[in-house]
Amino acid sequence: MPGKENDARAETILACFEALYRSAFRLTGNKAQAEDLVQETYLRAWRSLSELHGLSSVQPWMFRILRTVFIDQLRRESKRPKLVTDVKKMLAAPEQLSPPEVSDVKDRRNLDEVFDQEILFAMIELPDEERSALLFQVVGGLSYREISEAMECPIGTVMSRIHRAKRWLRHRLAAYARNYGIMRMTPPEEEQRDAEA
Amino acid sequence: MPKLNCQEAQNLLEAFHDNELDGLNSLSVQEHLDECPDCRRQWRWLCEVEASLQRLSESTPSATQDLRRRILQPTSPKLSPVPRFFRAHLRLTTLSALALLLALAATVTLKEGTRADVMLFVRDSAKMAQNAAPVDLRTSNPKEAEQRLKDRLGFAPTVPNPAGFKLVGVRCCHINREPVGLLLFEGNGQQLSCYIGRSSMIALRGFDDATRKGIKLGTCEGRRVAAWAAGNVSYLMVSDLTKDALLVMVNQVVNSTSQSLKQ
Repeated sequence: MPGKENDARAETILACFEALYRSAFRLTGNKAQAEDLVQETYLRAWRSLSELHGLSSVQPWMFRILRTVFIDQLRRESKRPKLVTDVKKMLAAPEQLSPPEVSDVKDRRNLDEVFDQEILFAMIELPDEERSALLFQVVGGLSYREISEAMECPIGTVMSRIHRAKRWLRHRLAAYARNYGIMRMTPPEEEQRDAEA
Repeated sequence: MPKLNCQEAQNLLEAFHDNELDGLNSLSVQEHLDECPDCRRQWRWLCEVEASLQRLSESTPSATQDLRRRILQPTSPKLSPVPRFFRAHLRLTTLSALALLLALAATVTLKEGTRADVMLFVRDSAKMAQNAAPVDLRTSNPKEAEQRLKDRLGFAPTVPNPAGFKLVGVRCCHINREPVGLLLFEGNGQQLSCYIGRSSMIALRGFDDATRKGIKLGTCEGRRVAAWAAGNVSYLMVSDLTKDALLVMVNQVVNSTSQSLKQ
């Protein structure tokens, strides 16, 4: 029976492969480092297979290993991203956002391309904890609970990390839209009337 | 249902978007959005950024087949199970690993060309025989060994029964898609190893004698070597016997293996 259990665990571990690689790619930003990261993650996982209890926690367990390996690599290479002052301020500040108006965009395709590029830059500036939580959710497809297991922190902490990360992205994209005049910064007139009423 | 103010509603917008809210909170947020144009604007902007994140996820490349292979092949428990026995016996595990390496060297030697040097093959196998014979089945029963060879190698050679020696065990491996079996015998304080494979061992270079029956004889680092073919199965024996003693023994064995292949 232990052999069968190990087989089931191994199958579940292998099922995480794609999500792990894609998250690793976004964490590291390049293919070679992502491959190294995933390979080392699996090596450690195979070695520790007997420590894994229950199949429901396999995916968070794999992401936890991935994160540990990633942090180890950053420490070795001294490449931990440095916090940009704006991010620090933004993360500490309450929500003060005047969002652009998205209802009347003319060149939707162009806007999407511009934002998709800009959001990558904005993510690089995030602190590791916020960026990992966000990537595990968006790219890895983990739930809040699974991220809390992967990052070994309470679920409330995960929620606030993701909230801060997304708030930063909204702030950065709004600033971009404002600076380049690509979106209207005032609400539609009927909404203004609603608000006044 | 609790009424939310703008700050409370905006704090819940992400969880609302991610479907992480319970039913009651979800309804509260929806109700607030229906009533509040400012928060609706925030909500539209949030959805815009979320859509960008979604595109980021969708545009993230998949892993290459090469990485998938690297991860799956060497470590998959289905492909390389480690028997509990070897885990419990570290020394034997080490010896087994050595045996596999030697068998790999032997198989590569055979695969690289039939004119490869038999001495290289024998030198490696001699080291293996000196190392207390790591086997994956300890048995003195030739039928049992035969069954193991059949199960593991995909063909069923006759297990030789050399006079004065007793079967100790059998080891099988598939390397470079080439099945190789190793039988180990002991008798009078001596060890005898017998390799069995499909590749033609008698075509190896480096033998210094041959009999009319086609038995090839050689010497490597003081150990005697004899090889012969039976059907499309090759046998190669390595021992500390004298040349004459080995020849007598092999002649006797060849007769029993000449009808070798029991497919």
